[in-house]
Amino acid sequence: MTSQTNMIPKVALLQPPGRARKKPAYLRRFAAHIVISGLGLLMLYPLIWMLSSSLKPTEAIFSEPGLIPENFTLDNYVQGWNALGLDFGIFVANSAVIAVLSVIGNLVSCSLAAYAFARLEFRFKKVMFGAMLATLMLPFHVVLVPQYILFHSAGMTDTFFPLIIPKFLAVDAFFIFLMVQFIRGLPRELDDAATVDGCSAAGVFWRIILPLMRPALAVTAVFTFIWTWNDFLTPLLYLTDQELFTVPLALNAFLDSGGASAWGPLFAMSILSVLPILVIFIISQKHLTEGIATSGLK
Amino acid sequence: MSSPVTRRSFLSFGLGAAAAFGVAGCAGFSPQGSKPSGKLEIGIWGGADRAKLYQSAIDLYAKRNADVQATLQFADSAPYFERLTTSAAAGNLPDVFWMTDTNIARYADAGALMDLNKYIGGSIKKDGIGEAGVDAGRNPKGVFGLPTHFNSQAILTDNDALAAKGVSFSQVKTWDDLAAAAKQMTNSAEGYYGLLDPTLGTNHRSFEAWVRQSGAELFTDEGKLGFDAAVLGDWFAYWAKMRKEGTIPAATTQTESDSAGWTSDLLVKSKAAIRVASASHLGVVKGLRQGNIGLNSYPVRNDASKDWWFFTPILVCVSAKTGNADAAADMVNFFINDKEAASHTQISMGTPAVPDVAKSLIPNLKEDQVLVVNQILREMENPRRRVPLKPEGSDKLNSALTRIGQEIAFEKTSVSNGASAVIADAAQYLK
Repeated sequence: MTSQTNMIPKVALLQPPGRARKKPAYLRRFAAHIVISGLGLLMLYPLIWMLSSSLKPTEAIFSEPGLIPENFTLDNYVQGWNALGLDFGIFVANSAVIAVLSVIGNLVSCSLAAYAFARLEFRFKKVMFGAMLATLMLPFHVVLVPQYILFHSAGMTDTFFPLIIPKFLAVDAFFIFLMVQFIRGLPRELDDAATVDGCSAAGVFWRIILPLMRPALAVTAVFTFIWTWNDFLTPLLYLTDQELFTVPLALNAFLDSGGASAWGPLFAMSILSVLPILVIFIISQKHLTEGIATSGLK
Repeated sequence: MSSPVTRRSFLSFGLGAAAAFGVAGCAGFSPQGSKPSGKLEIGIWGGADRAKLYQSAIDLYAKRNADVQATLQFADSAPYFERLTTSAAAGNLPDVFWMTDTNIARYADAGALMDLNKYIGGSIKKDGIGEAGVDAGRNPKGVFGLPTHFNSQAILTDNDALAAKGVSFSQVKTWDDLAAAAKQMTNSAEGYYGLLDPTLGTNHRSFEAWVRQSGAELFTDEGKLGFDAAVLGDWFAYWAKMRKEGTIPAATTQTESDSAGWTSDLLVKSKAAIRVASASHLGVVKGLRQGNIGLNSYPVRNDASKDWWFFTPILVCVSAKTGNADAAADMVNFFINDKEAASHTQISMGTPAVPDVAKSLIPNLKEDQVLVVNQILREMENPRRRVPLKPEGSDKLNSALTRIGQEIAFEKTSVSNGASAVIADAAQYLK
């Protein structure tokens, strides 16, 4: 009897009778990857379709449904680059200038405003914080006309100033709030230690808070860049000189709702327009996730 | 006792007077008969291709008038009007800009447009466009826009398909004839439609033709609705009958086709034989498909009034706050009457409003463009009574017609209830 018991594998003794073995972990992970990749491809399909269309002759874009072009061509890129009478690079450069300056403006102004709200005490702080949050609820169209009148009175229409100056005045309450939450998660003891060592409020901000705020700053920088790059309405209102057009305005110039739009060149230039955003996002992805994840946590 | 004139006060007065004259000079103040001068901002809707044409016309104007510095701003239609609305609120409209007949009343009522009456007959020659042309931008308070171009409504046909079935469109004179021809062309088994449904889209010029043929108007001079539920009910009933017979597409099919633009149009895809359109769409359709596409005039109601003809004007306006009214008026005249200007702008916006200018373009136009121009010139010889300026809120009638048209097509409401709803709603937005 004992020898028969010794011959039964230990694994078999441990498992309840009739229960199959679990699938290996790698199979489960493989299945999960397949599903997630499939969903990802589904979401990427419009971008892939646009890339495919940019490589087809214009007349084939809507008549050939397949993703692989039957007549591969780069003509759309050549035509699109010069279609507006100016190199498309000029519009990319305009967008880059506005986006970079907007990023700098937001980083400087929103971080200072957030530090004040999170760490400093001053009269009417709660009222001003409430007012700042209230601007989050305000639709842009409410301030659109007054802002335009303001900049027109200052003679700043048809310049980049109306697109950049507000960023240096902490108008983006979303980022201020994001940074406030992040700063509140930093231990006050660090501030106290610096103060004991003789740091002023500005010194605490510069030496202690700002270096620790890198993830939140990264989030602000990336989203400011993306939103500014994609902004259509504000440049539409303020920029009338074609040489100052940003990428969205330039892309809009390919459209003609009353007639035939230049779809091929439009898609080609759209693909080129997406590349900077893609690069920025890939480079800053790690900081982005860290910033979003830690902005509300200790 | 008056204070003595000091050197300081005399110099101040002198400098002030010099500045005043200088500003007046910079603003383009030009006594009667002198050449225009100063800065002009010009606004137009369209893509880069149209902007190039108009820029070359502006360069021509600048060559003739060296003291004028003109710059062009453009955007596609919807963004253009968004920008215009904001600019108008800030008092910063372009000096000269193009406008549709559906929007002009709103700007005129707000005091944003200059009354061109004082220049008509002087700087702005009206012989070419005639009283009918001047009326295109007239309301009881003045003339706030003048047509540089006209578009006409038309019926586009797949002539190859019609010929294959032995249908002669030249015999189609009335809306009933149109329905009969469309029914003859329909092949439900193959998903082929005789006619496309215009009641579900955003353009209701065909309904405007129906109303004018009945002797009524879309709007009165007082800004109220000019037709009754019976006229609208007949219109909806006409299309509902064809929808039921399968002559026109079902609601889902038509809506899907409309939403995706010209590339998904059923005539373009050879899934329909006839459609209601603007004459200028002939070029668009021919650019997207092969075959012989015909351009035909609208059919008429059996009891149609003779003077129903109308053309969609493309109006040019001058900002009420322009600092350079004389030069702006001169530029308006340039774009309306100058043949060389028209040779640059061609028929990008439509057929030139002045017949002689339109005829001067014909030798250099493509075949389908010549068809369009000739059609409009032919139709302009028909009698046409004045079209009252569309009042503020008129764009809401378009939206209401689309909404109710869709509700009827999707059988959410009946024809009579739908027509009554449109009439009742109009009282809300036509003040």
